[in-house]
Amino acid sequence: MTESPAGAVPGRTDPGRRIELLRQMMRIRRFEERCIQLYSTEKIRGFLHLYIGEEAVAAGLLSEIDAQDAVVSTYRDHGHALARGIPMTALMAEMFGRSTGCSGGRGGSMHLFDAQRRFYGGNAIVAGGLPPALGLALADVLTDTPHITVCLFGDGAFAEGEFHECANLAALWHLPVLFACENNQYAMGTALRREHAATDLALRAAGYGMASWPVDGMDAEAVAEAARRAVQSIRGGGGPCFLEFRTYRFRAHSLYDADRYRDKAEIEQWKARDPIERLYGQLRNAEIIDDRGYAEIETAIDAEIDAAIVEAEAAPLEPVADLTRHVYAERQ
Amino acid sequence: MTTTYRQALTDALREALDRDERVFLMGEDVGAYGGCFGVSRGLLDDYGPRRIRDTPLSESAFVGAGIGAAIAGRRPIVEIMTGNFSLLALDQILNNAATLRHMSGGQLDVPLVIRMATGAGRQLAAQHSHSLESFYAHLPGLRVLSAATVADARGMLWPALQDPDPVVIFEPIALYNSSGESRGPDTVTDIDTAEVARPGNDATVVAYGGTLHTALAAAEQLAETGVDAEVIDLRTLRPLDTATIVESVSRTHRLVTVDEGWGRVGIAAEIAAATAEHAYYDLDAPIRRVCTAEVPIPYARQLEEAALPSAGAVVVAVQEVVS
Amino acid sequence: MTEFRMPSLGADMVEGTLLHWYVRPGQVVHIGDVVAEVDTTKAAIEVESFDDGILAAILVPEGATVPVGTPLATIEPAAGSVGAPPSAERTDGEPAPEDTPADSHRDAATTPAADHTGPAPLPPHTAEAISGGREISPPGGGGTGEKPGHDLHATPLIRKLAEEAGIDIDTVHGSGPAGRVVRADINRIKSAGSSNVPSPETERRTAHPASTVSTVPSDKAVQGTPKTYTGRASGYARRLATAANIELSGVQGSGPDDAVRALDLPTDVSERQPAPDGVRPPPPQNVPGDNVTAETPRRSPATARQMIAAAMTRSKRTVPHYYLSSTVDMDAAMRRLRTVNEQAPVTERIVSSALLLCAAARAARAVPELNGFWLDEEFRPAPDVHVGMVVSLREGGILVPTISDADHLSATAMMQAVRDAVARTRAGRLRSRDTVQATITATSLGDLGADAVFGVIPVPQVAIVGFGAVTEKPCAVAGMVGVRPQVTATLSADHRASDGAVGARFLRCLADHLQHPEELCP
Repeated sequence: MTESPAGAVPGRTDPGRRIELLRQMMRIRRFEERCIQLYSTEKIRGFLHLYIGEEAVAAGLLSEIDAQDAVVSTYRDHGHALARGIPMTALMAEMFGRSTGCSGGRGGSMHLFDAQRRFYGGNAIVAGGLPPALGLALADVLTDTPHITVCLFGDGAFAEGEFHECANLAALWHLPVLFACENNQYAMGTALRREHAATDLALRAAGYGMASWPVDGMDAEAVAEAARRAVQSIRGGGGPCFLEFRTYRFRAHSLYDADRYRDKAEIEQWKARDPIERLYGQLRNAEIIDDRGYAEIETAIDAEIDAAIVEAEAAPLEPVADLTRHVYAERQ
Repeated sequence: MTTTYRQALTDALREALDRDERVFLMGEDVGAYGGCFGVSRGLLDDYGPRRIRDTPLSESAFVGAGIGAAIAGRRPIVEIMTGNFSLLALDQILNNAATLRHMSGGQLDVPLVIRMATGAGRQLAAQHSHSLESFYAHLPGLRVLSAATVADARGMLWPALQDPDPVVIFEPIALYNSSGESRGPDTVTDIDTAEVARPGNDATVVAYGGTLHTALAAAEQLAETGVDAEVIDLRTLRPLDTATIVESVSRTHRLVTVDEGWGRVGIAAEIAAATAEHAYYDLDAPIRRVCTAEVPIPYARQLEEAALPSAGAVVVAVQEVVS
Repeated sequence: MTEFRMPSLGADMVEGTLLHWYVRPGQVVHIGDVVAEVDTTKAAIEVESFDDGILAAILVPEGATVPVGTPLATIEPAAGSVGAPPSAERTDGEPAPEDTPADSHRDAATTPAADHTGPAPLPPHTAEAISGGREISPPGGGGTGEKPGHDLHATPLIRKLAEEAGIDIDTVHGSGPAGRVVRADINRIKSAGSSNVPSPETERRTAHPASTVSTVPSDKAVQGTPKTYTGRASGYARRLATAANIELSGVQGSGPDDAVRALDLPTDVSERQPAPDGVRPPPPQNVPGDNVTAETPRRSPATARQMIAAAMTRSKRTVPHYYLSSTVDMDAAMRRLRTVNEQAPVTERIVSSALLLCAAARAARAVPELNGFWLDEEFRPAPDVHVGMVVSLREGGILVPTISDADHLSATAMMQAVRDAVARTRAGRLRSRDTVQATITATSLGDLGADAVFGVIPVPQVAIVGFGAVTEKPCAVAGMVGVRPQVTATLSADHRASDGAVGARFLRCLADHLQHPEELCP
């Protein structure tokens, strides 16, 4: 049973929440823009998968879950980590490979972890995070705790066998999992229609016996609204839900990607639906915020990023002598 | 007391389920069917479907689910029916179980136990006769065990469950019906060390799992010819207890490794390398490996027998190094 | 002014043949430049300069063979070169030492050793050179700077870079044209921090990139630094041999391809029991003991030859031999042998050399001054008599298996031991008991018809007994000329350990034993 993408009904959420959604998206956007700069000057290395354009999903979805709920992310995880509330200083330090990073400098951009916040990592294996997400949810079932597990993945992962195994198992065992599919239309360089015979992913997921529906992933309020419904259903014992967030990344797959497979016109079409401009426009029209307010948010975000960079620059590198730590538990 | 290897495994499972409510068992056919090899027969009745969980045929999903549940503080025992099917979960085992602790900078424990049947000898042909211990022993972040005796079948599970890191336990299919001395619930296996299964002075024979019995049979034959072979049961394939091997070789000056896996790039090779590194000045003869022939396991009995390490081959190898 | 000398390029190298000069008088040379090619009997090796300067005079012509340490050429500091101020600029009133290093990197060993009695280096263009040489004018007369036609492994610049980086260039795998070492190869090794371990072969040639021309006699160098054994041996055998100070080249291996194993070592070499002082097992037995048979591709006959050459050369250069000879009446001995052999099957017949060995072994027991080792400037008697028996191989060369406790063997047992040892030796299958360290050696060339043989003592033993052919000779018997079987027994002994009187006593004792053959051959 699927529904067509629905925008949020204006006024459904209170102004404070709406400004917070905007601020979170701006924060993610600015953070990543600065990461591109830092990458070009070799402060950040490795892969850098940018979330720019998809901010509505992280901001909207993760604003609707509790601190005790679990999140399993992908290699495009900066936005998820920021929206989850991991301090930017810890994230930036991780990008810099410092020992103060959220993964101690061991993970980098693709492997942001914060066990305290139940953020179980960016996973660089497409669909690799789905099975553990089921296990996290199973643990909650076994302990009779009412938490849910949000598992983020993309349209590429939907093609992997692991997704289908997990969709079946989660539905079979009625696990409290929110399958959050960020369908940004491309599995790296392969367009959705070139990868899937049937491109309505929500429709296909419904076939596994769980509630599924598509969402406008360029509308933070629509995302939040859908997430709220799904979380409610899951907590109420309705078993797993599948949300297909139809979204778009404005930039290439990663900084290594020449981005020759997308039509410039297509990119521009999606950019016209920029989730930040969209929400800002709505809030300005509703006189909830003005340009000055927007600039203040921007200034505060820039200050936060500057501070995070300064802190990361100054942070210690883990000594090479510790190379083999964190392979096995350190026994006393 | 004497019992079967299968019963020892069952006893160990029951004990773990009784002792620690966080423990649960999941895998294909572990519940209603009673386990592909009958190891979990009766458990579903006694512990219920929450703790004895039949899974769909989806190794990646349920092994990964075990990983997630372990991260969340449970103590899952995941049974993979046979080693060959474990390849469908190799991604989860390598890219999550073995690496999550590291990638997270030490934030996550993965106290997962994976059990799987292994080995050949029953004419199950090429896809059902693998010994893939070396695949897993290759991976930093895992502990890999091989239960060669009834005592270890009984005694390895509990310490494995206490380990904050993922543990893979291999159970040789050929041993399920074997009998032996089982230790009581209060005796656990030291899963950090190899065991000298038979002391001797003339040559060190290192084996594990199903080949332990091959090596012991060879040692008996050798004893009749006056050659006193020491047989070591590795028990733990990762981390490798190099110290026990080196100590033995420093007395015998000779090493023969027996491995049901293929010889190339295998555990026998790893033992040989470790010995060459740490006991070069104690070796007085070339190291010999007795491994499975470099061929997929054939169906025909005589070919299968010829492919696998035999006591006779071990005898010949030992005689070569002591001559 | 410094001298460029014939370098020692191996522990057993005593002399070298100058094959080719790559430089001409008047030419500038730099540290690391290849200046000449030297044949060491093993290989032609390019040798390099250890000084910066101008080649003043060539003292040894191409084709000449000279001992290690011989000045080959003189090198003058180049004007204005660093580290060698012209004497005119000196202000301390001291004359400039002629061997002022031209470069601070210069190794002390380039300075002529204190005991060097060679000629003072000559100023350039002196017509009279000492050491029998004249200044060599370059062919063509003018030093045309013609390039050697030889394809160098690396340019001098690269050699210099390698030397500065502490890299033995001979071990570098060149990636340049024709396998030449290029700068990238050096950089690669430097950045890899590679230890660039030289092969044993290279190690013997140039132990250090900056090694210099040694003026120390090579045998002294040998005592200081044991030669790397490049044959086959188990790690365990190596450890035991090192602990017991046994050189593996003197041990015959019984393993695959004659690898030395623990059981091949002398039985008294036990682990964790260092030999007490005073009965330290002897160091290198300089008779080639590892396999030199044609069966082993690893050891070419030429190599075996070289090993024999090195061992014998060392013996003759370090051991002051004295020689005695004695004609022994073999009448009684040969009769006894005939009697015994008539009753024995053909396979068990005893030949005279077994009897001679019995006599020699018992004489060695009776005269302990000849049975043992010269070690650390003193004689150390051996508690037992183990006779090394020289066996000549059909393909050339010799091996010396040991007859253990030979002084306790009857002629029958000796015959069996000899027969077995010879068979095993020629088959290249010696056992550990064949390779026990001999305390005295015997050689017999009687079956080849030689009258007498004066052997070369295998260091560190102090004596070798020689037997010629047992032949019927006219001799005086009770005032009459008679014909009797006789043998010439000889003794070569180390004069440091004993004197002629001791040797004479030994030969007398040996002869006496042969007069009572029933004791030897019951």
